[in-house]
Amino acid sequence: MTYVDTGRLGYGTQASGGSSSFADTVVDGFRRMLSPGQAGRVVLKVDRTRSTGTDRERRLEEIQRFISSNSMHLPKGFAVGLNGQFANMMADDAWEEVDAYPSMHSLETFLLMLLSTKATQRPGIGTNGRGSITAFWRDGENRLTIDCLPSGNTRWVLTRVNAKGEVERAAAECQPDRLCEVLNAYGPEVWFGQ
Amino acid sequence: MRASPAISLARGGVSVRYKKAPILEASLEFRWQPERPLDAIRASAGLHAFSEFEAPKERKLVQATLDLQGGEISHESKKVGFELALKDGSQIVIIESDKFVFVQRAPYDQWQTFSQRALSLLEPVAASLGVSEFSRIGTRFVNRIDIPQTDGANVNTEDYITVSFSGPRTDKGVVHEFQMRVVKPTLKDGISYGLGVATSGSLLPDHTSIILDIDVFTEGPTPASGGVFAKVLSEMRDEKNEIFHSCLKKPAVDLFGGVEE
Repeated sequence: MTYVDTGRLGYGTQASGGSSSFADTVVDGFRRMLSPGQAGRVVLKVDRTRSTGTDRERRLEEIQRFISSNSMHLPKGFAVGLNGQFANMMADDAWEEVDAYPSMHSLETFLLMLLSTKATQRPGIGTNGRGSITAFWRDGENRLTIDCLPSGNTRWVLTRVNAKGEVERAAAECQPDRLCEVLNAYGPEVWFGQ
Repeated sequence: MRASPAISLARGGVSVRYKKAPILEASLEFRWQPERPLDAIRASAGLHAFSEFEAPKERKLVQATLDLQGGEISHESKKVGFELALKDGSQIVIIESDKFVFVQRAPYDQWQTFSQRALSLLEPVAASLGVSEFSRIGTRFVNRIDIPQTDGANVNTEDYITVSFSGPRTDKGVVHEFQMRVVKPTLKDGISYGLGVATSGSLLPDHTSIILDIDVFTEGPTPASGGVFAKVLSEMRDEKNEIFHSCLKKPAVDLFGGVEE
């Protein structure tokens, strides 16, 4: 028997009380009861427990949960470190409320970029205020900035001192899975590590 | 539907730690009766044990009723407790009028670290609420195994897990979506489990995922401390490990990147 593709399962039992990504979806299913009401009426009753919080706090939680759930594919310590960076970036006293929150599509692009480049050095992060997530590395004069866009593309710009001591600059847009190849000409290990 | 043992790791109390453990989330839940008042729950969420955590957020139970035939919708909400999280979101504690839940998000380290942390937070809460007996204890592990699709070929889940679909018809083509959930007693008195198995999408390109959602729980009262409590927790952990490994075949385990010392 072969399965492909999927629907997302949710979850069942009690444990995380609605905090799980899978729990949220499935718990809803199990908490939903279809029952005959009085006078033969059909009544759909839904119970859901959730924590209060601002939209920004919920988005941060969503981001941290998504990063955690893919931590097994990242270098050791990356997930916890990135989650701390996002918490700092989206903290009360750091966030400009006029900015759009980092989008989940951008976050997917961001993680795919990290997986594709096999970076072992964690980037600094930022946002352009329009939902994208920016990753940047710096080693002296060598700088690389990658914008991870909600469209699934990356837009990057770099400054690199070559073997002759000359400063080279480059910029382009590509899919995350192409990054490794296109950056290879610039000795990306200076940013990503070995 | 069948589920038969495939490999024998982590049995008899021997612990293994995979380099790329597929655990997304691990949690321990302790319930008690009768319910405690919200003021007492609020006080317990302010205990020194939670000084590392961000400020507690209220948890609300929202009940919505849709009367399909009468065309009426009603809803109400009530405060039921508090939720606290570390700044990096890696650990979450939920304290409600009838339960305490500790959640460890990935990356998960090992049972000893996980359970000791949970118990260090639970003990002052149980003391402050005067809980001497738990009406139910549960531990839940949500795992996701990301399987590469070699050359774009469909993934045959029977190569990886021992749980499979055995329906009344064969028809044609492949299964596009699979979900199963079963709840039943274990061989150990008073301990039952829920097992959810499903296919799922993956972040990784050209991958398919399998979710293994394991919930082991007690069905009778357990003292809130002491030898019996420790024994029950240990048995629950052994059952959880046994169920997990019984669901897996070697190619799945091979995806976990080997074992860490």
